Amino acid sequence: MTETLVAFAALLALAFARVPIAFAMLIVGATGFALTRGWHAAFDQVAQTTFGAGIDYELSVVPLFILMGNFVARAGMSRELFRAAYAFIGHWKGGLAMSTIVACAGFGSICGSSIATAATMSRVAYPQMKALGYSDKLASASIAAGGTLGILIPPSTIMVIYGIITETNIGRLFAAGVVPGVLAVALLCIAVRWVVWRDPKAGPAGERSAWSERLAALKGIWGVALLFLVSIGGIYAGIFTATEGAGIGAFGAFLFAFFRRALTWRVLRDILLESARTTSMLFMILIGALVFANYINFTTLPADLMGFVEQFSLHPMLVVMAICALYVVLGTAMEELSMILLTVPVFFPLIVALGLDPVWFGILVVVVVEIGLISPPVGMNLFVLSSLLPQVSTPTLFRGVMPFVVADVVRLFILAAFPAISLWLPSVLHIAGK
Amino acid sequence: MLGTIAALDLAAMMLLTFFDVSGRKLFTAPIYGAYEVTEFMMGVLIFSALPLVTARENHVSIDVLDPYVPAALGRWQRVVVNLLSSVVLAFLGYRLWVLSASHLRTHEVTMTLHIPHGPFTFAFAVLALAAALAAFVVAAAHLRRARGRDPA
Repeated sequence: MTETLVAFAALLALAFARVPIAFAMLIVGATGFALTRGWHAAFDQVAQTTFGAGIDYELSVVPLFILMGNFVARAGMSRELFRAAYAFIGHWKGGLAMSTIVACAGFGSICGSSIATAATMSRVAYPQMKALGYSDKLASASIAAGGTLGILIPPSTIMVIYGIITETNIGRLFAAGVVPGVLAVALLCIAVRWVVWRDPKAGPAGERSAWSERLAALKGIWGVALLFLVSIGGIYAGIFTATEGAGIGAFGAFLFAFFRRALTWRVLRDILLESARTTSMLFMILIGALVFANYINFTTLPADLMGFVEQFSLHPMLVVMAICALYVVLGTAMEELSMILLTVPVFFPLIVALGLDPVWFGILVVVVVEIGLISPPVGMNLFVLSSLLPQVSTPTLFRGVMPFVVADVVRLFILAAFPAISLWLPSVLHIAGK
Repeated sequence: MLGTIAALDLAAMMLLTFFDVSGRKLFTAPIYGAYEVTEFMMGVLIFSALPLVTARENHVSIDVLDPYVPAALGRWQRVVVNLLSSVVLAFLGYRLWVLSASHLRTHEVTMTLHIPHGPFTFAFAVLALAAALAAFVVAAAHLRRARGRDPA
Protein backbone atom coordinates (compact mmCIF):
# COMPACT_ATOMS: atom_id res chain seq x y z
CA MET A 1 0.00 0.00 0.00
CA THR A 2 2.71 2.48 1.04
CA GLU A 3 4.86 1.81 -2.02
CA THR A 4 1.85 2.33 -4.28
CA LEU A 5 1.15 5.68 -2.69
CA VAL A 6 4.81 6.60 -3.16
CA ALA A 7 4.41 5.64 -6.83
CA PHE A 8 1.35 7.87 -7.21
CA ALA A 9 3.16 10.72 -5.47
CA ALA A 10 6.19 10.33 -7.75
CA LEU A 11 3.89 10.28 -10.76
CA LEU A 12 2.13 13.47 -9.73
CA ALA A 13 5.43 15.17 -8.95
CA LEU A 14 6.81 14.33 -12.41
CA ALA A 15 3.57 15.33 -14.13
CA PHE A 16 3.33 18.68 -12.39
CA ALA A 17 7.00 19.31 -13.18
CA ARG A 18 5.73 19.25 -16.79
CA VAL A 19 7.13 15.88 -17.84
CA PRO A 20 4.73 14.61 -20.54
CA ILE A 21 2.16 12.51 -18.69
CA ALA A 22 2.72 9.52 -20.97
CA PHE A 23 6.41 9.40 -20.08
CA ALA A 24 5.81 10.04 -16.39
CA MET A 25 3.52 7.01 -16.29
CA LEU A 26 6.04 4.93 -18.22
CA ILE A 27 8.88 5.86 -15.88
CA VAL A 28 6.97 5.22 -12.66
CA GLY A 29 5.11 2.17 -13.99
CA ALA A 30 8.24 0.48 -15.32
CA THR A 31 10.29 1.27 -12.21
CA GLY A 32 7.53 0.06 -9.88
CA PHE A 33 7.13 -3.10 -11.92
CA ALA A 34 10.87 -3.68 -11.86
CA LEU A 35 11.04 -3.28 -8.07
CA THR A 36 8.25 -5.80 -7.52
CA ARG A 37 8.93 -8.26 -10.34
CA GLY A 38 12.52 -7.72 -11.45
CA TRP A 39 14.11 -5.54 -14.12
CA HIS A 40 14.11 -8.14 -16.84
CA ALA A 41 10.36 -8.73 -16.55
CA ALA A 42 9.76 -4.98 -16.49
CA PHE A 43 11.75 -4.38 -19.69
CA ASP A 44 9.91 -7.13 -21.53
CA GLN A 45 6.60 -5.86 -20.22
CA VAL A 46 7.22 -2.36 -21.59
CA ALA A 47 8.13 -3.60 -25.08
CA GLN A 48 5.26 -6.10 -25.23
CA THR A 49 2.72 -3.54 -24.01
CA THR A 50 3.93 -0.94 -26.51
CA PHE A 51 3.91 -3.35 -29.42
CA GLY A 52 0.61 -4.92 -28.34
CA ALA A 53 -1.25 -1.61 -28.03
CA GLY A 54 0.32 -0.37 -31.26
CA ILE A 55 -1.15 -3.17 -33.35
CA ASP A 56 -4.41 -3.85 -31.48
CA TYR A 57 -7.26 -4.07 -34.01
CA GLU A 58 -9.87 -3.02 -31.44
CA LEU A 59 -7.99 0.24 -30.94
CA SER A 60 -8.19 1.19 -34.63
CA VAL A 61 -11.59 2.62 -33.70
CA VAL A 62 -9.73 5.53 -32.08
CA PRO A 63 -7.97 7.05 -35.16
CA LEU A 64 -11.05 6.43 -37.30
CA PHE A 65 -13.41 8.34 -35.00
CA ILE A 66 -10.82 11.12 -34.62
CA LEU A 67 -10.61 11.35 -38.40
CA MET A 68 -14.40 11.39 -38.74
CA GLY A 69 -14.61 14.27 -36.25
CA ASN A 70 -11.93 16.28 -38.06
CA PHE A 71 -13.68 15.80 -41.42
CA VAL A 72 -17.09 16.93 -40.18
CA ALA A 73 -15.51 19.87 -38.37
CA ARG A 74 -14.15 21.09 -41.73
CA ALA A 75 -17.27 20.23 -43.71
CA GLY A 76 -19.18 23.15 -42.20
CA MET A 77 -21.97 20.98 -40.85
CA SER A 78 -22.06 23.01 -37.65
CA ARG A 79 -23.58 25.93 -39.58
CA GLU A 80 -26.73 24.06 -40.61
CA LEU A 81 -27.15 22.63 -37.14
CA PHE A 82 -26.98 26.06 -35.58
CA ARG A 83 -29.44 27.48 -38.11
CA ALA A 84 -31.94 24.70 -37.46
CA ALA A 85 -31.72 25.08 -33.69
CA TYR A 86 -32.06 28.85 -34.01
CA ALA A 87 -35.17 28.55 -36.17
CA PHE A 88 -36.94 26.73 -33.35
CA ILE A 89 -35.73 28.36 -30.13
CA GLY A 90 -33.83 31.50 -31.18
CA HIS A 91 -36.72 33.77 -30.20
CA TRP A 92 -36.53 32.75 -26.54
CA LYS A 93 -34.60 34.82 -24.03
CA GLY A 94 -31.06 33.49 -24.22
CA GLY A 95 -32.29 31.54 -27.23
CA LEU A 96 -29.07 31.91 -29.17
CA ALA A 97 -27.01 30.43 -26.37
CA MET A 98 -29.55 27.60 -26.11
CA SER A 99 -29.39 27.10 -29.88
CA THR A 100 -25.63 26.82 -29.52
CA ILE A 101 -26.02 24.08 -26.92
CA VAL A 102 -28.57 22.18 -28.98
CA ALA A 103 -26.38 22.50 -32.08
CA CYS A 104 -23.38 21.24 -30.06
CA ALA A 105 -25.43 18.21 -29.06
CA GLY A 106 -26.29 17.60 -32.71
CA PHE A 107 -22.68 17.96 -33.68
CA GLY A 108 -21.71 15.62 -30.86
CA SER A 109 -23.75 12.91 -32.58
CA ILE A 110 -21.22 12.78 -35.41
CA CYS A 111 -18.08 13.90 -33.59
CA GLY A 112 -16.43 12.18 -30.67
CA SER A 113 -14.28 15.03 -29.44
CA SER A 114 -15.32 17.85 -27.15
CA ILE A 115 -12.49 20.05 -28.26
CA ALA A 116 -13.38 19.73 -31.94
CA THR A 117 -17.04 20.39 -31.14
CA ALA A 118 -16.26 23.55 -29.17
CA ALA A 119 -13.79 24.75 -31.80
CA THR A 120 -16.07 24.32 -34.79
CA MET A 121 -19.08 25.75 -32.98
CA SER A 122 -17.22 28.84 -31.82
CA ARG A 123 -16.65 29.87 -35.46
CA VAL A 124 -20.37 29.67 -36.20
CA ALA A 125 -22.12 30.63 -32.98
CA TYR A 126 -19.92 33.32 -31.46
CA PRO A 127 -20.26 35.90 -34.30
CA GLN A 128 -24.04 35.39 -34.32
CA MET A 129 -24.36 35.89 -30.58
CA LYS A 130 -22.17 38.99 -30.69
CA ALA A 131 -24.23 40.40 -33.56
CA LEU A 132 -27.32 40.16 -31.38
CA GLY A 133 -25.59 41.87 -28.46
CA TYR A 134 -24.87 38.86 -26.24
CA SER A 135 -22.34 39.35 -23.45
CA ASP A 136 -18.93 37.79 -24.02
CA LYS A 137 -19.40 35.91 -20.79
CA LEU A 138 -22.51 34.03 -21.88
CA ALA A 139 -21.46 33.65 -25.51
CA SER A 140 -18.07 32.08 -24.83
CA ALA A 141 -19.16 29.99 -21.84
CA SER A 142 -22.17 28.46 -23.61
CA ILE A 143 -19.89 27.27 -26.42
CA ALA A 144 -17.34 25.84 -23.97
CA ALA A 145 -20.06 24.03 -22.03
CA GLY A 146 -22.02 22.88 -25.08
CA GLY A 147 -18.81 21.58 -26.61
CA THR A 148 -18.37 19.04 -23.81
CA LEU A 149 -21.43 17.20 -25.17
CA GLY A 150 -19.11 15.93 -27.93
CA ILE A 151 -17.86 13.13 -25.69
CA LEU A 152 -21.18 12.29 -24.03
CA ILE A 153 -23.28 11.92 -27.14
CA PRO A 154 -21.90 9.05 -29.23
CA PRO A 155 -19.46 8.65 -30.88
CA SER A 156 -17.07 9.43 -28.05
CA THR A 157 -13.31 9.06 -27.79
CA ILE A 158 -13.43 8.80 -24.00
CA MET A 159 -16.07 6.05 -24.10
CA VAL A 160 -14.00 4.12 -26.64
CA ILE A 161 -10.92 4.29 -24.44
CA TYR A 162 -12.86 3.45 -21.27
CA GLY A 163 -14.47 0.54 -23.12
CA ILE A 164 -11.14 -0.81 -24.27
CA ILE A 165 -9.30 -0.61 -20.96
CA THR A 166 -12.19 -2.10 -18.97
CA GLU A 167 -13.41 -4.50 -21.67
CA THR A 168 -16.85 -2.94 -21.58
CA ASN A 169 -18.94 -3.12 -24.76
CA ILE A 170 -18.44 0.14 -26.67
CA GLY A 171 -21.80 -0.13 -28.44
CA ARG A 172 -23.60 -0.33 -25.08
CA LEU A 173 -21.63 2.67 -23.81
CA PHE A 174 -22.60 4.58 -26.94
CA ALA A 175 -26.26 3.77 -26.36
CA ALA A 176 -26.03 4.72 -22.70
CA GLY A 177 -24.85 8.24 -23.54
CA VAL A 178 -27.96 9.30 -25.45
CA VAL A 179 -30.54 9.95 -22.71
CA PRO A 180 -27.97 11.59 -20.39
CA GLY A 181 -27.10 13.75 -23.41
CA VAL A 182 -30.69 14.98 -23.64
CA LEU A 183 -30.71 15.61 -19.89
CA ALA A 184 -27.47 17.56 -20.28
CA VAL A 185 -28.98 19.79 -22.98
CA ALA A 186 -31.97 20.51 -20.73
CA LEU A 187 -29.82 21.38 -17.72
CA LEU A 188 -27.42 23.55 -19.70
CA CYS A 189 -30.41 25.43 -21.18
CA ILE A 190 -31.72 25.97 -17.65
CA ALA A 191 -28.31 27.41 -16.78
CA VAL A 192 -28.63 29.81 -19.73
CA ARG A 193 -32.10 30.74 -18.51
CA TRP A 194 -30.69 31.48 -15.06
CA VAL A 195 -27.99 33.72 -16.54
CA VAL A 196 -30.49 35.81 -18.54
CA TRP A 197 -32.85 35.93 -15.57
CA ARG A 198 -30.03 37.47 -13.54
CA ASP A 199 -28.94 39.76 -16.35
CA PRO A 200 -31.50 40.14 -19.18
CA LYS A 201 -29.01 42.14 -21.27
CA ALA A 202 -26.62 39.17 -21.40
CA GLY A 203 -28.77 37.26 -23.87
CA PRO A 204 -31.56 39.12 -25.72
CA ALA A 205 -34.14 37.19 -27.70
CA GLY A 206 -33.78 36.73 -31.45
CA GLU A 207 -36.49 36.92 -34.09
CA ARG A 208 -39.20 34.31 -34.29
CA SER A 209 -38.96 32.14 -37.39
CA ALA A 210 -41.98 31.14 -39.46
CA TRP A 211 -42.81 27.45 -39.73
CA SER A 212 -41.77 27.41 -43.37
CA GLU A 213 -38.31 28.65 -42.37
CA ARG A 214 -38.17 26.10 -39.61
CA LEU A 215 -38.90 23.22 -41.94
CA ALA A 216 -36.38 24.52 -44.46
CA ALA A 217 -33.72 24.77 -41.73
CA LEU A 218 -34.57 21.28 -40.54
CA LYS A 219 -34.03 19.92 -44.04
CA GLY A 220 -30.54 21.45 -43.94
CA ILE A 221 -29.35 18.96 -41.35
CA TRP A 222 -30.01 15.84 -43.44
CA GLY A 223 -26.27 15.26 -43.80
CA VAL A 224 -25.70 15.06 -40.07
CA ALA A 225 -28.75 12.85 -39.63
CA LEU A 226 -27.63 10.49 -42.38
CA LEU A 227 -24.10 10.20 -41.04
CA PHE A 228 -25.37 9.48 -37.53
CA LEU A 229 -27.95 6.99 -38.77
CA VAL A 230 -25.50 4.97 -40.86
CA SER A 231 -22.51 4.99 -38.54
CA ILE A 232 -23.86 5.08 -34.98
CA GLY A 233 -27.30 3.74 -35.93
CA GLY A 234 -25.54 0.77 -37.49
CA ILE A 235 -23.75 0.10 -34.20
CA TYR A 236 -27.06 0.40 -32.27
CA ALA A 237 -28.85 -1.91 -34.64
CA GLY A 238 -26.15 -4.52 -34.19
CA ILE A 239 -25.12 -4.34 -37.85
CA PHE A 240 -21.63 -2.99 -37.12
CA THR A 241 -19.10 -3.33 -34.36
CA ALA A 242 -17.73 -0.02 -33.09
CA THR A 243 -14.65 -0.29 -35.31
CA GLU A 244 -16.74 -1.01 -38.40
CA GLY A 245 -19.05 1.90 -37.61
CA ALA A 246 -16.02 4.15 -37.20
CA GLY A 247 -14.65 3.11 -40.60
CA ILE A 248 -17.99 3.78 -42.29
CA GLY A 249 -18.37 7.07 -40.42
CA ALA A 250 -14.89 8.31 -41.31
CA PHE A 251 -15.38 7.54 -44.98
CA GLY A 252 -18.88 9.08 -44.97
CA ALA A 253 -17.54 12.22 -43.34
CA PHE A 254 -14.78 12.34 -45.96
CA LEU A 255 -17.41 12.16 -48.74
CA PHE A 256 -19.41 15.00 -47.17
CA ALA A 257 -16.34 17.18 -46.82
CA PHE A 258 -15.40 16.35 -50.41
CA PHE A 259 -18.78 17.10 -52.00
CA ARG A 260 -19.16 20.31 -50.05
CA ARG A 261 -15.90 21.39 -51.67
CA ALA A 262 -14.30 21.81 -48.26
CA LEU A 263 -11.29 19.75 -49.30
CA THR A 264 -8.24 20.89 -51.17
CA TRP A 265 -5.19 18.66 -51.22
CA ARG A 266 -3.68 20.85 -48.59
CA VAL A 267 -6.70 20.72 -46.29
CA LEU A 268 -6.96 16.96 -46.75
CA ARG A 269 -3.31 16.51 -45.83
CA ASP A 270 -3.75 18.78 -42.80
CA ILE A 271 -6.76 16.83 -41.59
CA LEU A 272 -5.01 13.48 -42.00
CA LEU A 273 -1.82 14.69 -40.37
CA GLU A 274 -3.65 16.38 -37.52
CA SER A 275 -5.59 13.17 -36.86
CA ALA A 276 -2.40 11.12 -37.02
CA ARG A 277 -0.68 13.38 -34.50
CA THR A 278 -3.65 13.27 -32.13
CA THR A 279 -3.72 9.48 -32.44
CA SER A 280 -0.02 9.16 -31.70
CA MET A 281 -0.36 11.46 -28.68
CA LEU A 282 -3.33 9.49 -27.31
CA PHE A 283 -1.60 6.17 -27.83
CA MET A 284 1.48 7.28 -25.95
CA ILE A 285 -0.75 8.18 -23.00
CA LEU A 286 -2.56 4.88 -23.39
CA ILE A 287 0.69 2.89 -23.48
CA GLY A 288 2.01 4.77 -20.44
CA ALA A 289 -1.22 4.08 -18.59
CA LEU A 290 -1.15 0.39 -19.51
CA VAL A 291 2.40 0.03 -18.22
CA PHE A 292 1.38 1.81 -15.04
CA ALA A 293 -1.76 -0.33 -14.70
CA ASN A 294 0.30 -3.51 -15.11
CA TYR A 295 2.28 -2.39 -12.10
CA ILE A 296 -0.80 -1.42 -10.06
CA ASN A 297 -2.32 -4.84 -10.73
CA PHE A 298 0.66 -6.46 -9.01
CA THR A 299 0.30 -4.27 -5.94
CA THR A 300 -2.18 -4.69 -3.15
CA LEU A 301 -3.86 -1.35 -3.79
CA PRO A 302 -7.05 -2.60 -5.51
CA ALA A 303 -7.48 -5.30 -2.84
CA ASP A 304 -6.68 -2.86 -0.02
CA LEU A 305 -9.30 -0.48 -1.31
CA MET A 306 -11.84 -3.31 -1.43
CA GLY A 307 -10.86 -4.32 2.10
CA PHE A 308 -11.37 -0.77 3.27
CA VAL A 309 -14.84 -0.63 1.77
CA GLU A 310 -15.78 -3.99 3.32
CA GLN A 311 -14.34 -3.19 6.71
CA PHE A 312 -16.53 -0.15 7.10
CA SER A 313 -19.34 -1.80 5.09
CA LEU A 314 -19.67 1.35 3.03
CA HIS A 315 -22.79 1.66 0.92
CA PRO A 316 -21.93 1.22 -2.81
CA MET A 317 -23.61 4.54 -3.57
CA LEU A 318 -21.35 6.26 -1.06
CA VAL A 319 -18.31 4.75 -2.74
CA VAL A 320 -19.46 5.97 -6.15
CA MET A 321 -20.15 9.44 -4.76
CA ALA A 322 -16.68 9.53 -3.19
CA ILE A 323 -15.04 8.49 -6.47
CA CYS A 324 -17.01 11.12 -8.41
CA ALA A 325 -16.14 13.81 -5.89
CA LEU A 326 -12.46 12.90 -6.16
CA TYR A 327 -12.68 13.10 -9.97
CA VAL A 328 -14.35 16.50 -9.92
CA VAL A 329 -11.63 17.86 -7.63
CA LEU A 330 -8.75 16.24 -9.56
CA GLY A 331 -10.32 17.32 -12.84
CA THR A 332 -9.95 21.00 -12.02
CA ALA A 333 -6.16 20.68 -12.11
CA MET A 334 -5.40 17.57 -14.18
CA GLU A 335 -5.64 16.66 -17.80
CA GLU A 336 -8.77 14.50 -17.95
CA LEU A 337 -7.77 11.57 -20.14
CA SER A 338 -4.71 10.75 -18.06
CA MET A 339 -6.75 11.16 -14.88
CA ILE A 340 -9.18 8.51 -16.13
CA LEU A 341 -6.49 6.16 -17.42
CA LEU A 342 -4.60 6.37 -14.14
CA THR A 343 -7.49 5.83 -11.79
CA VAL A 344 -9.83 3.48 -13.65
CA PRO A 345 -7.51 0.47 -13.13
CA VAL A 346 -7.76 1.14 -9.40
CA PHE A 347 -11.48 1.90 -9.14
CA PHE A 348 -12.92 -0.38 -11.78
CA PRO A 349 -12.38 -3.69 -9.90
CA LEU A 350 -14.09 -2.08 -6.92
CA ILE A 351 -17.09 -1.06 -9.01
CA VAL A 352 -17.43 -4.57 -10.40
CA ALA A 353 -17.00 -6.19 -6.98
CA LEU A 354 -19.74 -3.97 -5.58
CA GLY A 355 -22.04 -5.31 -8.27
CA LEU A 356 -22.42 -1.96 -10.03
CA ASP A 357 -22.92 -1.70 -13.78
CA PRO A 358 -19.67 -0.92 -15.71
CA VAL A 359 -21.64 0.85 -18.44
CA TRP A 360 -23.29 3.17 -15.94
CA PHE A 361 -19.96 3.87 -14.26
CA GLY A 362 -18.54 4.63 -17.71
CA ILE A 363 -21.18 7.32 -18.22
CA LEU A 364 -20.36 8.84 -14.83
CA VAL A 365 -16.69 8.86 -15.84
CA VAL A 366 -17.55 10.68 -19.06
CA VAL A 367 -19.58 13.25 -17.14
CA VAL A 368 -16.76 13.96 -14.69
CA VAL A 369 -14.43 14.40 -17.67
CA GLU A 370 -16.92 16.89 -19.13
CA ILE A 371 -16.90 18.81 -15.87
CA GLY A 372 -13.10 18.73 -15.86
CA LEU A 373 -13.03 20.15 -19.39
CA ILE A 374 -14.80 23.35 -18.33
CA SER A 375 -13.69 23.76 -14.72
CA PRO A 376 -11.00 26.39 -14.14
CA PRO A 377 -8.08 26.63 -13.92
CA VAL A 378 -7.23 23.62 -16.12
CA GLY A 379 -10.01 22.92 -18.60
CA MET A 380 -9.14 22.02 -22.17
CA ASN A 381 -12.33 23.52 -23.59
CA LEU A 382 -11.61 26.81 -21.85
CA PHE A 383 -8.12 26.85 -23.35
CA VAL A 384 -9.48 26.15 -26.80
CA LEU A 385 -12.05 28.94 -26.49
CA SER A 386 -9.56 31.49 -25.22
CA SER A 387 -7.15 30.70 -28.04
CA LEU A 388 -9.91 30.95 -30.67
CA LEU A 389 -11.53 34.05 -29.15
CA PRO A 390 -8.60 36.20 -27.99
CA GLN A 391 -10.98 39.13 -27.45
CA VAL A 392 -12.61 37.29 -24.53
CA SER A 393 -10.46 37.56 -21.41
CA THR A 394 -9.76 34.40 -19.44
CA PRO A 395 -11.31 35.69 -16.18
CA THR A 396 -14.50 36.55 -18.10
CA LEU A 397 -14.63 33.04 -19.48
CA PHE A 398 -13.93 31.51 -16.05
CA ARG A 399 -16.75 33.49 -14.45
CA GLY A 400 -19.12 32.84 -17.32
CA VAL A 401 -18.71 29.10 -17.19
CA MET A 402 -19.56 28.70 -13.49
CA PRO A 403 -23.36 28.31 -13.92
CA PHE A 404 -22.67 25.58 -16.46
CA VAL A 405 -20.28 23.78 -14.13
CA VAL A 406 -23.04 23.82 -11.50
CA ALA A 407 -25.52 22.42 -14.06
CA ASP A 408 -23.05 19.63 -14.86
CA VAL A 409 -22.54 18.73 -11.21
CA VAL A 410 -26.32 18.56 -10.75
CA ARG A 411 -26.44 16.23 -13.76
CA LEU A 412 -23.73 14.03 -12.26
CA PHE A 413 -25.83 13.62 -9.11
CA ILE A 414 -28.98 12.83 -11.08
CA LEU A 415 -27.18 10.23 -13.20
CA ALA A 416 -25.54 8.67 -10.15
CA ALA A 417 -28.85 8.50 -8.28
CA PHE A 418 -30.86 7.10 -11.21
CA PRO A 419 -28.82 4.53 -13.17
CA ALA A 420 -31.88 3.79 -15.30
CA ILE A 421 -31.42 7.07 -17.18
CA SER A 422 -28.19 5.68 -18.62
CA LEU A 423 -29.07 2.01 -18.79
CA TRP A 424 -32.52 2.06 -20.31
CA LEU A 425 -31.54 2.55 -23.95
CA PRO A 426 -28.78 -0.10 -24.02
CA SER A 427 -31.20 -2.55 -22.45
CA VAL A 428 -33.73 -2.22 -25.27
CA LEU A 429 -31.18 -2.37 -28.11
CA HIS A 430 -29.43 -5.49 -29.32
CA ILE A 431 -25.83 -4.52 -29.68
CA ALA A 432 -23.23 -6.63 -31.49
CA GLY A 433 -19.73 -7.45 -30.38
CA LYS A 434 -18.32 -8.52 -27.08
CA MET B 1 8.39 12.75 -45.12
CA LEU B 2 7.13 11.11 -41.94
CA GLY B 3 4.07 13.36 -42.11
CA THR B 4 3.29 12.10 -45.60
CA ILE B 5 3.67 8.51 -44.49
CA ALA B 6 1.36 9.06 -41.53
CA ALA B 7 -1.25 10.89 -43.65
CA LEU B 8 -1.24 8.29 -46.44
CA ASP B 9 -1.30 5.46 -43.92
CA LEU B 10 -4.37 6.87 -42.17
CA ALA B 11 -6.15 7.50 -45.48
CA ALA B 12 -5.41 3.92 -46.52
CA MET B 13 -6.67 2.63 -43.19
CA MET B 14 -9.94 4.50 -43.62
CA LEU B 15 -10.44 3.17 -47.15
CA LEU B 16 -9.49 -0.37 -46.19
CA THR B 17 -11.92 -0.47 -43.26
CA PHE B 18 -14.70 1.07 -45.35
CA PHE B 19 -14.32 -1.33 -48.27
CA ASP B 20 -13.81 -4.31 -46.01
CA VAL B 21 -16.96 -3.58 -44.00
CA SER B 22 -19.15 -2.64 -46.97
CA GLY B 23 -17.84 -5.65 -48.87
CA ARG B 24 -18.69 -7.93 -45.99
CA LYS B 25 -22.13 -6.47 -45.21
CA LEU B 26 -23.37 -5.80 -48.73
CA PHE B 27 -21.76 -8.51 -50.84
CA THR B 28 -20.58 -10.96 -48.15
CA ALA B 29 -17.14 -10.51 -49.68
CA PRO B 30 -14.75 -9.06 -47.09
CA ILE B 31 -11.19 -8.17 -48.03
CA TYR B 32 -9.01 -11.15 -47.20
CA GLY B 33 -6.82 -10.41 -44.20
CA ALA B 34 -7.91 -6.76 -43.90
CA TYR B 35 -7.95 -7.23 -40.14
CA GLU B 36 -4.23 -7.94 -39.98
CA VAL B 37 -3.26 -5.23 -42.43
CA THR B 38 -5.21 -2.69 -40.35
CA GLU B 39 -3.30 -3.74 -37.24
CA PHE B 40 0.06 -3.01 -38.78
CA MET B 41 -1.16 0.19 -40.41
CA MET B 42 -2.13 1.38 -36.94
CA GLY B 43 1.35 0.72 -35.64
CA VAL B 44 2.88 2.60 -38.57
CA LEU B 45 0.44 5.48 -37.98
CA ILE B 46 1.30 5.84 -34.31
CA PHE B 47 5.05 5.49 -34.61
CA SER B 48 5.54 7.57 -37.75
CA ALA B 49 3.70 10.49 -36.10
CA LEU B 50 5.65 10.05 -32.83
CA PRO B 51 8.78 12.00 -33.88
CA LEU B 52 6.53 14.80 -35.21
CA VAL B 53 4.55 15.07 -31.98
CA THR B 54 7.78 15.02 -29.98
CA ALA B 55 9.52 17.65 -32.11
CA ARG B 56 6.55 20.00 -31.63
CA GLU B 57 6.44 19.33 -27.87
CA ASN B 58 2.82 18.30 -28.38
CA HIS B 59 2.79 15.53 -25.79
CA VAL B 60 0.12 16.16 -23.19
CA SER B 61 1.65 17.72 -20.11
CA ILE B 62 0.37 19.66 -17.13
CA ASP B 63 1.31 23.32 -17.42
CA VAL B 64 -0.73 24.87 -14.58
CA LEU B 65 2.41 25.79 -12.71
CA ASP B 66 3.97 27.64 -15.67
CA PRO B 67 2.92 31.12 -14.52
CA TYR B 68 4.72 30.53 -11.20
CA VAL B 69 7.99 29.29 -12.68
CA PRO B 70 10.51 32.12 -13.22
CA ALA B 71 11.62 32.49 -16.86
CA ALA B 72 15.25 31.53 -16.17
CA LEU B 73 14.23 28.38 -14.36
CA GLY B 74 11.60 27.63 -17.01
CA ARG B 75 14.29 27.31 -19.65
CA TRP B 76 16.18 24.72 -17.60
CA GLN B 77 12.92 22.97 -16.87
CA ARG B 78 12.33 22.60 -20.62
CA VAL B 79 15.85 21.29 -21.12
CA VAL B 80 15.53 18.66 -18.37
CA VAL B 81 12.00 17.61 -19.35
CA ASN B 82 12.98 17.08 -22.98
CA LEU B 83 16.14 15.21 -22.02
CA LEU B 84 14.09 12.95 -19.81
CA SER B 85 11.59 12.41 -22.66
CA SER B 86 14.50 11.59 -24.90
CA VAL B 87 15.79 8.97 -22.48
CA VAL B 88 12.34 7.36 -22.15
CA LEU B 89 11.87 7.26 -25.93
CA ALA B 90 15.38 5.91 -26.44
CA PHE B 91 14.66 3.18 -23.90
CA LEU B 92 11.40 2.36 -25.67
CA GLY B 93 13.25 2.23 -29.00
CA TYR B 94 15.94 0.01 -27.53
CA ARG B 95 13.45 -2.47 -26.07
CA LEU B 96 11.50 -2.56 -29.35
CA TRP B 97 14.82 -3.21 -31.08
CA VAL B 98 15.44 -6.18 -28.80
CA LEU B 99 11.89 -7.39 -29.43
CA SER B 100 12.36 -7.08 -33.20
CA ALA B 101 15.56 -9.13 -33.00
CA SER B 102 13.61 -11.89 -31.30
CA HIS B 103 10.76 -11.58 -33.85
CA LEU B 104 13.27 -11.83 -36.71
CA ARG B 105 15.02 -14.78 -35.12
CA THR B 106 11.83 -16.78 -34.56
CA HIS B 107 10.25 -15.69 -37.87
CA GLU B 108 7.05 -14.71 -36.13
CA VAL B 109 4.22 -14.13 -38.64
CA THR B 110 0.49 -13.31 -38.51
CA MET B 111 -2.15 -16.05 -38.78
CA THR B 112 -3.85 -15.30 -42.11
CA LEU B 113 -1.51 -13.38 -44.36
CA HIS B 114 1.76 -14.51 -42.76
CA ILE B 115 2.91 -10.92 -42.43
CA PRO B 116 6.27 -11.08 -40.64
CA HIS B 117 6.35 -9.18 -37.32
CA GLY B 118 10.08 -8.52 -37.39
CA PRO B 119 10.38 -5.75 -40.00
CA PHE B 120 7.53 -3.83 -38.35
CA THR B 121 8.92 -4.04 -34.83
CA PHE B 122 12.22 -2.94 -36.33
CA ALA B 123 10.59 0.06 -38.01
CA PHE B 124 8.78 0.97 -34.77
CA ALA B 125 12.11 0.77 -32.93
CA VAL B 126 13.80 3.07 -35.44
CA LEU B 127 10.91 5.56 -35.30
CA ALA B 128 10.96 5.59 -31.49
CA LEU B 129 14.71 6.27 -31.65
CA ALA B 130 14.04 9.07 -34.15
CA ALA B 131 11.56 10.53 -31.63
CA ALA B 132 14.25 10.28 -28.93
CA LEU B 133 16.59 12.20 -31.22
CA ALA B 134 13.85 14.81 -31.81
CA ALA B 135 13.41 15.30 -28.06
CA PHE B 136 17.17 15.65 -27.70
CA VAL B 137 17.29 18.31 -30.42
CA VAL B 138 14.45 20.19 -28.73
CA ALA B 139 16.33 20.06 -25.42
CA ALA B 140 19.46 21.42 -27.12
CA ALA B 141 17.42 24.20 -28.74
CA HIS B 142 16.07 25.23 -25.33
CA LEU B 143 19.60 25.20 -23.98
CA ARG B 144 20.76 27.54 -26.76
CA ARG B 145 17.66 29.72 -26.12
CA ALA B 146 16.73 29.00 -29.74
CA ARG B 147 13.21 28.07 -28.69
CA GLY B 148 10.60 30.14 -26.88
CA ARG B 149 8.36 29.15 -24.06
CA ASP B 150 5.42 28.43 -26.29
CA PRO B 151 6.54 26.44 -29.31
CA ALA B 152 4.53 26.55 -32.52
